[in-house]
Amino acid sequence: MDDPIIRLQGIAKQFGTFVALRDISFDIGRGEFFSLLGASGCGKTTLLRILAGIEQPSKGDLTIDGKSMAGVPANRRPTNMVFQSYAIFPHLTVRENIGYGLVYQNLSKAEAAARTEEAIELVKLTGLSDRSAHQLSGGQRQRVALARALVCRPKVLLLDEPLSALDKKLREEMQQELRSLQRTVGITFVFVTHDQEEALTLSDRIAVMSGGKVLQIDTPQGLYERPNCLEVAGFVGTMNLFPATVSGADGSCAVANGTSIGELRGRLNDRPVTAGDAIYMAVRPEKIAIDAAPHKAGPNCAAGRIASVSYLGDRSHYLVDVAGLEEPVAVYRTNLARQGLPETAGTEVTLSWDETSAMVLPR
Amino acid sequence: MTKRFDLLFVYAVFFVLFLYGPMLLMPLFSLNDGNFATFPLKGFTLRHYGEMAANTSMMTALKNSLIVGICVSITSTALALPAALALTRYRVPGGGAILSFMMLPLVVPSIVLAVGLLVVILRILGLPLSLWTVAAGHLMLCIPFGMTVLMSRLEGFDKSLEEASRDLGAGGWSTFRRVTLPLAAPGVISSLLLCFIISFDEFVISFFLTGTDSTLPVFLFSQLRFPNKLPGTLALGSLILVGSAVLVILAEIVRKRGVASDNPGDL
Repeated sequence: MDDPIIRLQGIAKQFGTFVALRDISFDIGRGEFFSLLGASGCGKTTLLRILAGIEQPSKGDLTIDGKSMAGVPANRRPTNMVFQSYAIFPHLTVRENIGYGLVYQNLSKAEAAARTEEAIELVKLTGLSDRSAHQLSGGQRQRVALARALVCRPKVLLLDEPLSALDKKLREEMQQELRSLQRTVGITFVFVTHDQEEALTLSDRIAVMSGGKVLQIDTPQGLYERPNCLEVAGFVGTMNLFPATVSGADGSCAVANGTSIGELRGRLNDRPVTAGDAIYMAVRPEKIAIDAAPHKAGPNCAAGRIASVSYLGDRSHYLVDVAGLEEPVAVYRTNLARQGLPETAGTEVTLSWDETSAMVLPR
Repeated sequence: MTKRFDLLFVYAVFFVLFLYGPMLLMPLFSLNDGNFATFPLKGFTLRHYGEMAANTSMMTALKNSLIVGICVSITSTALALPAALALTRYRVPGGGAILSFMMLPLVVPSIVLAVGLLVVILRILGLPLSLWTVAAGHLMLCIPFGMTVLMSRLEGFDKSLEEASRDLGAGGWSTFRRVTLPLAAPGVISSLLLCFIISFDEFVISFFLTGTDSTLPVFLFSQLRFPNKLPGTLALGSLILVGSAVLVILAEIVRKRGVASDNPGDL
C-alpha cells in the first residue's frame, strides 16, 4: 500500500509468559474504516491499545502517518480512542468532557469553545451540554465519548467495541450513524469488535484475529466469499462443511468423487490441490436451494429430510438431515412468496447448489 | 415470632447500654452540681464548663492536640496518596512486601512502637522531646490508615478514565490534577478525618514522646490524681464526644455518597 496511515511491522506483545500478539504486520490506508474482528482474548484490544500508546509492543515497529511511534506516549500521538466503557469523566459535564482534550491543542478560548459546540452538534447532543455525565443514557454516553475524541481532530480514531453495551435497536442506529460520521469527517477509523455482522456492515476492510495472530485481511465480501481457512469461514457467517477427498481438478474447480452424498465440485480460490488431499467442500446456507422435487442426479446435490424450521419473517432457516453426514445442513431461504414447500419437520427435500457457490477449504 | 423479637429487642437494649452507658454518664456528671462523680445527682449547673474554659493549661493541651491532629492528618494523607497511587496504578517490584511493611504499625502494639521511637529520638538522633516528636510518632501510626482508605478508593474507579485522559493529550501531572484527584476526593476527605481522630485521641505514643507541652489525652491522664479537677475534665470530655460524633457522622455521609452513586467521582 502506498503511503498508509498506519503501518505495523512484526508487532508482538507478551504479558509475562502470556503471548497476546505474535508477529502482526499490515497497513491501514488513509480514510479507511478498518475493523479488527475476533473472539474475546484474540488480542484485538491489545493491538488497539498499542496503536493508542497505552500499551507498548514487546517487539516490532509501528508507524503512524510516516512517523515512528517508538517511545511516543499516548498523549503525543495523533490518535484518539473511544473506550469500551466510554470512560466519561463522571465529575464533569458533557461540555467539559468534550472539551477536555482541547486544552492541550494551543487554541484560543473562543476557538476551543467553538470547536466544542461544533462537536456537540455533530453528535446531536445539543441541549444536553450542561448535564452531568451520570444523567446520560448509554447511547448518549457513547456520543459524548465519540465527540470527545473527534473534537481533537485525530488522524486515526480508535474504537474499542463502542456499541457492545447498547441494545440491538440502538446498536443498529448507531452503526448507521457511525458509518455516515466516518464519511463526513473522513478520518481513518480502527474499530474493534467481536460481532461479525457489525464488522461486515461497517468496514471497508476487516482483519480477522485469533490467538494473537491475524488470520485474514480482506473486504467484507472477500471474507465471506473467499475465507482462507476454516476458522475465518466459521467466524464470519455460517458455513456448511462436507468432508471430501480430492479426486482431481477441472479448471478452477476441484472435483471430489464418491463422498457420502455423491460427487462434489467447488471453487479452488487460487489454492492448488492434488488428488488425495483431504478437504472440506464449504457452502454458505443461503446458497443452497431447497425444494420438494425428487432427487436429481448430478454433482452438488443431496436428498434429505427437514429436521427443523425457524421462521424469521423475511426468511426461514432450515436444518436438513442428510444421510451420511453427521451434522445437519443449514439452509436459509428468503420468503419471497408462497412457494409450495411444506414448512414442517419430516418433509423429504432435495438440496442443490452451483459449483461456483461451493469452495474448497483445507481440512 | 413475637417472643423471639422481644428477646432480641431486650438483648439489643442491653448491648447499646453496655456500649454507650458509661460514655453517657460523662455529660450527665458534667452538668451535676458537685465535685464527685457519684449518685444521687445534686442539681443542674454549667459551672464546670466555666471552670474548664478558665483552666489555661487544659486549654493549651487542647490547642496542642488540635494543632498536632491537623498537621498529622494533612501530612499523612499527603504522604499516603502518592504511595497508594503507586501501589494501585503500577506494577511496583516488591509491591506486596512494601505494602505489608507500611501496614506494620497497625499490628505492632503501640507501646512497643513508643519505646522504640523514644530510643531512636533520644539516643540515636539526640533530639529533645516536643510536640514535633509526638507528631512524628502519630504520622507513623496514621500513614497505614490513610493508605488503606485511599487504596480502596483508588482501586474502586475505572482505570480507563486515566487512560482516556492520557489519550486526550494530558500528561501525567495533568491527569492527576484533572481526573485522579477529583475522583479520589471522597477518599482524601475520609483519610483526613480518620487520621485527625487517630492523632487526637492517641495516648501511648504521646505519653512517651511528649516534652513539656502535652497533648490533651496525656494532660487529662495527669489530672486524674486531683479529684476536684474531675468535673472540668468531664465537661471537656463531653464537648469532645459531641465534636467527634459530628466528625464521624460527616465522614460517614461523605463515604456513603461516594458509594451510593454509580459514578465513583460524585460527591
